[in-house]
Amino acid sequence: MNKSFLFLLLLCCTQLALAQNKFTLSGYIKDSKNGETLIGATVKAEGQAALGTQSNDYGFFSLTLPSGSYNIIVTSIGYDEKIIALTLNSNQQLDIQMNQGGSEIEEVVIKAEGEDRNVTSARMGVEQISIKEINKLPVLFGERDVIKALTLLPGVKSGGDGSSSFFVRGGAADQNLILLDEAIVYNPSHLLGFFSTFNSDAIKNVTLYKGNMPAQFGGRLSSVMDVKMNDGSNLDFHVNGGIGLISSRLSVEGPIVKNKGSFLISARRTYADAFLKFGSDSTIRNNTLYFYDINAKANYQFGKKDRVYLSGYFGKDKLGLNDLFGLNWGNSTGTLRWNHQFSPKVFSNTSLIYSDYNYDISIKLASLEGRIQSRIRDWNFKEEVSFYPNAQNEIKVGLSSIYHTIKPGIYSGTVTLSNEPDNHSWENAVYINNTWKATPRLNVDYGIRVSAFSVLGGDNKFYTLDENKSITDTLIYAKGSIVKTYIQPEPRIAASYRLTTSSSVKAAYSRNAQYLHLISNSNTANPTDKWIPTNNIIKPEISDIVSLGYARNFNDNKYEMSIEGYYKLMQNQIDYKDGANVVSNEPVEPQLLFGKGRAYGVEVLLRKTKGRLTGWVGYTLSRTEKQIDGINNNDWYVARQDRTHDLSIVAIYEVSKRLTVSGTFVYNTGNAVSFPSGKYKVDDQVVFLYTERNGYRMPAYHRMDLSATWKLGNDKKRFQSELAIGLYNVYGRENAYAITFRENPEDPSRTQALRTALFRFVPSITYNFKF
Amino acid sequence: MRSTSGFIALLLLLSGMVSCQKVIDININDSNTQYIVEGEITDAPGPYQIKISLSKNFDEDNNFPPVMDALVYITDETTGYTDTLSPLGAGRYQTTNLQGVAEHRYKLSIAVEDKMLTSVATIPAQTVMIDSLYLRKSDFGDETYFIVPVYTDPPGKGNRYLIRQYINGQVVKGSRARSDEVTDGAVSEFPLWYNTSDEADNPLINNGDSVKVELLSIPQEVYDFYRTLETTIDQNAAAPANPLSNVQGAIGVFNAATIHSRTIKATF
Repeated sequence: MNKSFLFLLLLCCTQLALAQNKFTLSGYIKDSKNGETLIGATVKAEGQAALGTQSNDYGFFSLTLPSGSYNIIVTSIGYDEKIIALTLNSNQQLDIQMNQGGSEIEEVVIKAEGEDRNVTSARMGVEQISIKEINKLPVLFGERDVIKALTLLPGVKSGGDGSSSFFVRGGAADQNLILLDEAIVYNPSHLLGFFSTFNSDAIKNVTLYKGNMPAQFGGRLSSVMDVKMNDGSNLDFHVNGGIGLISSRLSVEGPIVKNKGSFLISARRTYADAFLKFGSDSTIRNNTLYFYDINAKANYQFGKKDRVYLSGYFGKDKLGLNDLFGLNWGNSTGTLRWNHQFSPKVFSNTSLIYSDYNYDISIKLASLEGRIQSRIRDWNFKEEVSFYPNAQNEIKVGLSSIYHTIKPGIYSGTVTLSNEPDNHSWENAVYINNTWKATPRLNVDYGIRVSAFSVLGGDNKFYTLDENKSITDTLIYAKGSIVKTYIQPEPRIAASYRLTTSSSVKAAYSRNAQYLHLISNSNTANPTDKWIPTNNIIKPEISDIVSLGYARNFNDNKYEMSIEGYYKLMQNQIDYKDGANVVSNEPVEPQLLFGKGRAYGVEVLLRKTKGRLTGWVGYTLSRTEKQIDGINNNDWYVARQDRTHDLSIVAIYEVSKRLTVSGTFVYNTGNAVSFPSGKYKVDDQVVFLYTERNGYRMPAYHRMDLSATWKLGNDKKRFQSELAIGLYNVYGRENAYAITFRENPEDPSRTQALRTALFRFVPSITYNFKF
Repeated sequence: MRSTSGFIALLLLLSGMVSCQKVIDININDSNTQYIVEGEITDAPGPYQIKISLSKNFDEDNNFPPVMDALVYITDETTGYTDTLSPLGAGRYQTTNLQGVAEHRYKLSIAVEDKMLTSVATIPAQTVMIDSLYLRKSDFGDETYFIVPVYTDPPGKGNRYLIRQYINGQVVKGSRARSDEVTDGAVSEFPLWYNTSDEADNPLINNGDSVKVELLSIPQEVYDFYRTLETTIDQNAAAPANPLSNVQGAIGVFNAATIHSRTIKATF
């Protein structure tokens, strides 16, 4: 094992030994209305700034204090503060019920110390948006979207109209680890990217780590988007749903045994293809185009110390062009978890996780009739133990073991291709992390993750390439044998130093490694983009990111401000040779080029968290570049997702108890793009001449969206409903989705540029209800 | 499988309800002039032609300047015979005595101003015949007809084809490159769809028209050129680039192929 890992373990143990004559207060923090456990709620002993903790992913907290009488203050975003007076002279278990905060308009005056987390937490580059907030934002077709909401934050760039991709701090779209109840979601998009796979009805919490992630996360370079599903009410049954222009949703939740266990089932289906039926053209009428998805979760508490959760997601997209062409794809995930409290100070979670992404293409054209299926499937075992030795330290130790199986192509029909052999690999990691309140002013979060990736043998081929990328040797290894193992220590540290009660400076460093890579042939994200594992030729991607920041709250924590700068170096980045055909069945390795990347920028966020008007202004100034031998004369060049300026403004205003209006405005520099610089004639056609990669810019993108939510009926009744109307792209800006070049139809001796724009003035109306 | 264009078609179909297109002005940089070479030698009787032209800047017109004063040779490397091509004007050069033979390797040398452009290509051993031709109504519900050539791919992977179609002697723009990677040894019976929109300026097939298809068996490098040319023309690649040329010092292709053609009268 790595030396620094041992050193850390030792360091943590010495701190453990310091605890004496103290007692532990532990338990769960829950919503009083439905029993949902609350993640990230703050529990503090009054006046003792350093003596506080946060509830974990399962709502559990553990706080060790010297014996005595305390006012325990509990706060959580969107909930009223709770103060509990208690005398601690033995270990005590306490479940804390929190009341959902009244509407902001009632001017609930909260003086919680937890509200300044922006300033106190050591973590950097962490973004949280509450589902409540997400549900108030205007969205395309009225379809609430977690990913689209995250792209409104600084450092997170949207893939643009018709894309669920996002780019964090210059990273590529495949460098985001997207987790749904710990399971990896390989393709977070529905309908070729128009919507994301996350149904906000089923989601409890979304956290985005923009590079400086804690040691328990790994496997991707740029970010972790950690999505947690709701548990479902364990007190009484509820139904909620929505009817929209292109989709409807329905969720049912309730207790399995009151106060002991609960379930939640949430489903969505779009009916966009219903509109196609009205088309005059019969070829359009016979097309299929829809998706559905189901989120389900159940949990049950066995005794005081054990709780079991089972959660799953299943989604499917179906596209069909008459009977000629069909494309179906979908993710399915499953997570079985067991929480166990060994003692008030030791909490353990064991997870068994399944994750699957597959697509299926069918073609029935003239003499060709065939099917291509492809899938990636993971089995993942995770164990994490959290120690709460004292109020100053919280130590997490864990391991993760993932077995990846990739089936690149299974063929049937008249195609004579034999199936492509399965590809197996084994990704392991151990980690330790300590959240240490060193002094009342200094917080440090430090740890290390050691990841190991083993390439396994089987029927798949391994190649040896010469300098010209020609295959010189082809090898096959015995099934199950280890072909190669890459080991990577990934140290992580983040620290904050409190300058005053309302301001702090922060610094962080992280190394991340990534072993799976997404290979794409097209300029838009396709469901058929390939995930390929690291092997003897494709090396693990590695990044080192350093961040520096300043956070300050104003006006009794009503306003938050943060400035963060980052510099990131990335190794073993992948790009494609000119003319690469990576969707073919030919070996992909000779078509790839490898090099390095760097990204740097400054992010500014100003946020108003209280009052009738809430929202934020986020701005990012950044640059992302790549240097890859074989591209642009081996010089540094800007990456596609490079955007100099990126601005988002979000405002939510409560006009009255019933009416909330919201608006967003986004502006960003266009993506870097390769346009032709000349032309020539070949094969009787005018063909465009390219001179450099990413030498041009798309036009700047900007858009404003508005929405209004009107609560209907009586607040006091069990049945509640609301009407949400929205307008996407209010001023009808024609943002370029693509720019193509062609001969001028009026004058074939000339050429011209053609801009395709999607979505101008898209209105939406949605009716939501719950009872 | 080249399914990307299919997705884009679907995507555009989906967005057809809400998208709009507009011609815009873009500030495009100038580019260095490139030599463009197109040449072909087959096992059919000669003469064979080589065409040389120059590229232009994007904002100029589409009259591409021919290269008139080049010295062009083709050497049959198998026999050692060199043919000096004679200029025909308009950037075209023609062989005098050379006869293409299967499995012979040919070297094209072009001396222009200050540069040598060279390429080598070997005519494949096999000639694959078109068994038959017929016409098939569009699978997409309209009343357009397309030619279906039927041919049998010889067993064993590695066969590469180029297909060209002519309607009443007029060539349909865009040669089709095919590979047997997914259909090895199978009978190919796939319609030669082409762009029938007004802008494409292609002839449509009417009853009674003479329709001809040429099936060329080509080397891998030539296939790569036409495959990547298609990608360049489609303009939807992740990294747009020029086609993979097999002519050193130029963009273009020197094709060495066996050829078989068949003509029928369109009746439907």
